[in-house]
Amino acid sequence: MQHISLYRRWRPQTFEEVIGQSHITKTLANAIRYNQLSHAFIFCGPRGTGKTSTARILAKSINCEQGPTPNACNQCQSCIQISNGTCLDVIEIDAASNRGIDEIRALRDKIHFSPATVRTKVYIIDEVHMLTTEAFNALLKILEEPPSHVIFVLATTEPNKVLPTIMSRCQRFDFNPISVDVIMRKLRLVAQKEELEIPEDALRLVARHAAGSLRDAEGALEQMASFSGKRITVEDVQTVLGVVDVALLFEAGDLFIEKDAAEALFLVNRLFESGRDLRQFTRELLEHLRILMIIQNVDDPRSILDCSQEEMERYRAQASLLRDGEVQRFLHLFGETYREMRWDSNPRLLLELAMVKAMKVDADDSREALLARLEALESMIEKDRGSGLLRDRPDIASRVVQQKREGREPEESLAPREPAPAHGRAGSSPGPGHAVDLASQKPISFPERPDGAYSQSETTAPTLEPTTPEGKVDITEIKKKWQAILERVREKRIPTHALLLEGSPLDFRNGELTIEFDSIFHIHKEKVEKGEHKRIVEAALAEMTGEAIRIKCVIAAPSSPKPQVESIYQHQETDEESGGKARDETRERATKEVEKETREEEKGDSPKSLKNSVDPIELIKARFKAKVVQKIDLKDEEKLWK
Amino acid sequence: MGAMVFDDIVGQDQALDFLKKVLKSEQISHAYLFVGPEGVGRRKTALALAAALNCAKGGCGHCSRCRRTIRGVYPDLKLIQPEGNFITIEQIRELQGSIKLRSYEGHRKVIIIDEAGSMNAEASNALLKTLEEPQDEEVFILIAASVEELLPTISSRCQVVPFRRVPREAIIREMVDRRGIDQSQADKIARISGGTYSRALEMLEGEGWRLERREEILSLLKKISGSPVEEAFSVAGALLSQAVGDQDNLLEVQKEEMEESLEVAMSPRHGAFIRNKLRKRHARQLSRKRSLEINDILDIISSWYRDLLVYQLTAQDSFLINRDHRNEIRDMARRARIERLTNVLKEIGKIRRMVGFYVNPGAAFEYLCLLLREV
Repeated sequence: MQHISLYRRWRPQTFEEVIGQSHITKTLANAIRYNQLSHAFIFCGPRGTGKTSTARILAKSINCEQGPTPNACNQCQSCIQISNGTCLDVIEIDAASNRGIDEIRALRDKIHFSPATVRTKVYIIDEVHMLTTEAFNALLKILEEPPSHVIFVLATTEPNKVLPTIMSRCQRFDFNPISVDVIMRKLRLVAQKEELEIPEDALRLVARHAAGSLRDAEGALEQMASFSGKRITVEDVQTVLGVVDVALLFEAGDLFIEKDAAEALFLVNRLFESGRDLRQFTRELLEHLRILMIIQNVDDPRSILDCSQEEMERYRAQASLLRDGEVQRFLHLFGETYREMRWDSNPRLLLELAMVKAMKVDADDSREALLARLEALESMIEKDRGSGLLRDRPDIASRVVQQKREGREPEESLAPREPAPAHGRAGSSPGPGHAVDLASQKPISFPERPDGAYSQSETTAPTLEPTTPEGKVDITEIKKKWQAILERVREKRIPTHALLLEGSPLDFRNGELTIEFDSIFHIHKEKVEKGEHKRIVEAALAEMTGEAIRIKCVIAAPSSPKPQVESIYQHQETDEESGGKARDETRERATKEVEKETREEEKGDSPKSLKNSVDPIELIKARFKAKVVQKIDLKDEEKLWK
Repeated sequence: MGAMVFDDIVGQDQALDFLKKVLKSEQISHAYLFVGPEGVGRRKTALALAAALNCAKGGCGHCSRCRRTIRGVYPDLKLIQPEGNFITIEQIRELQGSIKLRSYEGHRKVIIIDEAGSMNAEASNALLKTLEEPQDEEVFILIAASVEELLPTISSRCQVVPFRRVPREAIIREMVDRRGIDQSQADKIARISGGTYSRALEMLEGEGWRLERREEILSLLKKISGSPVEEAFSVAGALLSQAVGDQDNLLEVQKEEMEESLEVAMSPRHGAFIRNKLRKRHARQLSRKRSLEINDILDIISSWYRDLLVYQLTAQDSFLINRDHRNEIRDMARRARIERLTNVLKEIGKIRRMVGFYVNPGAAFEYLCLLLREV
């Protein structure tokens, strides 16, 4: 006996069995019930969504001996004949093979004969988009006013190729791709009837692989059945369908976070040597990145993505460690690579190149990469402004950024830790319970102070001491850390940073920080005080101070002058006045000296007068501007921007 | 046990495993789609499957049916290949006509559609209905480079059987065990072939002239970095001359064909007609051959710079393509800059595409060599 494919064996035979298209089956059933059936339909939709099946069921419903009824009996002569495709009056035409005007003329000649065995002749014209223009036009007149004993059902996957004049003469039904859940339900049923044993995870893999097409899903299930027999495992599915192991994708994602080009190359070659299809890997990597991008941008990603809770958690963890811009860059990069793989015979090289470019922004000359480099530059300058310490040390700056990213999770960066070893995770906070401020995150090797304040033998990363008494957070401390907080916000989300820049901390009590905005920045204020921005600011505050802090935004009274962002130096003085710990003082003096030193060696042209001015921000700005001008000059000389 | 026909196929354990299980379970689907890169054994497997489907002993490989099927001359086997650049709707219609006829030897008809991706839209759509609900016990085997080459409506009607690049060990084993090649040579060939077995076999053809050519090209590349401009042009010239390859062989064959044509011609006019056709075909063959050789050279060049890049980033030689030159790679990788390397590799990709569009290869090589100077 001939083996019949699952998708043919389990072709739906009644409207109820057509899954995922209730908007269509209900309409048709009701039209039959109330005898309001149109004479021409066009079914549009992607492969495997039930177009041909619905057309046949429609033919049966109309012609069933019990009917016309929405529930064809599937037992009478005509139902059986239609199911078998032997009914003389239900004519299925393959428009793709019979696409010329002659075929349509033949059809037109025969159409006026009354049906031989049943009530209504049904013409099912499948793949109708392949008819030639002449054929389409020849069809127009019959389609508009067919004899009363004729119904047309056209079916196509590409409605855009069907003439509008045809479309307007038909009732159009759009079949939707079927969701993973619905496919799974159907597969479960089929598996049960076929006595296949298949775990839920494997079923999900098959359903996802089908991408909305039930025929693909049932085909894959059948393929599984002939491969594994009655018991199908997840591994079998992965093998037969060539589905990439999710673990590999997460591994790649981790490498993107770590920027480890060598490991990435190892990964590609491991895949290559094991004979994996690199193009498929790239495609699934794109899908993985897409999920990360959605998570980064959508509040409730589960409404878009269908994956289990634990998967979602893993994705979320990875998404939180990548910047959005970065994910977009990867998407562009690998999308391009995926497209090129179509024409290029050397997918390994293409994937390797893409990986290197992903890890090393310098090697990528795309627009997105330039943007990323520009952003890195900006953040370096910003940091410069924040601390004055990282100037001229881009190598360190980028290391700091990376280390901070690694230690982004608040628990981790706030957790008690041993003094960091020289090359270890120098970015982490040294003492228990201390808020991490920017200064303490620098793995800079301070030159040993002559006063021996902290000549701590081997440790190049100095164990910096807290700048405030432990525990309590107060407004002075927040003000002092404001730059660092801004910086943290910037890392989280640049737009939020831009908004927050216009505000300044005013007051802090009962766990609520009041941020003041000048009246001209009322829009900034309104944005910061709600939604995502608020959440980010509060998260940054929590990370930097170690306490949960709510924020409240107010508009400054017009009369009062805009309060200056107070300088680090002023705070240090306050601290000293209030009798901070002796060690703090030493440390601060040290920091100050380092800063002074860097400032002095910086350049002679920095206006000396500004140095003692009240507002050190101005001082920094002046210096910072000078530096940027110089950099641009340099670039101009090299004509790099040409 | 049957299925001996599959024994010759190298490194496709998974696909074969699947097909053998299918044969055993007798749940033969009506359509299979073999996807995978060129030269890994898809065609050979398709013929073997056809043999196994029709052989009384499930593919013994010795009976008349098996042998005829594998040679592609079995009457119930239909092989469709592109005529010109496409598989056309006429070919599919003709197929549909022949399917309606009963099978000659009372067995399954097998239809192999090679390079199924080259079916144009009309042909693909015409095949849809036939593929969905075949009338008799036909089995379709479609061969394509990837699923995406085909209409989704086509691939959704087939069971997809992925073919993989052949693992390096499998190629080495095959070379050493069956062809008596020594281990280091086999390793070298396996690395160059990049997982396509047919490419590895090519390396052995004609006393290994391809391997010699590769050595020459690599020695040119080693000296081009930082050389004067004139040098770059001379290297470009040398590369181009390598692209001629073993054209002589082909020319010889073509000459013979020409002479034969004189013999079979029935009249002077007929002779002129045949010769004209032949001349055109030969010109096409030549230009195709040439662009293949150019691609081959570009492959060698890009493999070199790829190795430099890989070595610079990983400092390991385990997956270098040109591992036999690892000492030079180590030295040069130290000097090269990543951006330059990625840029060169990108440009080589571009040139490859340009050559496909009939850009003057000489100019392309000169451009490339000027670029390579700066790595």
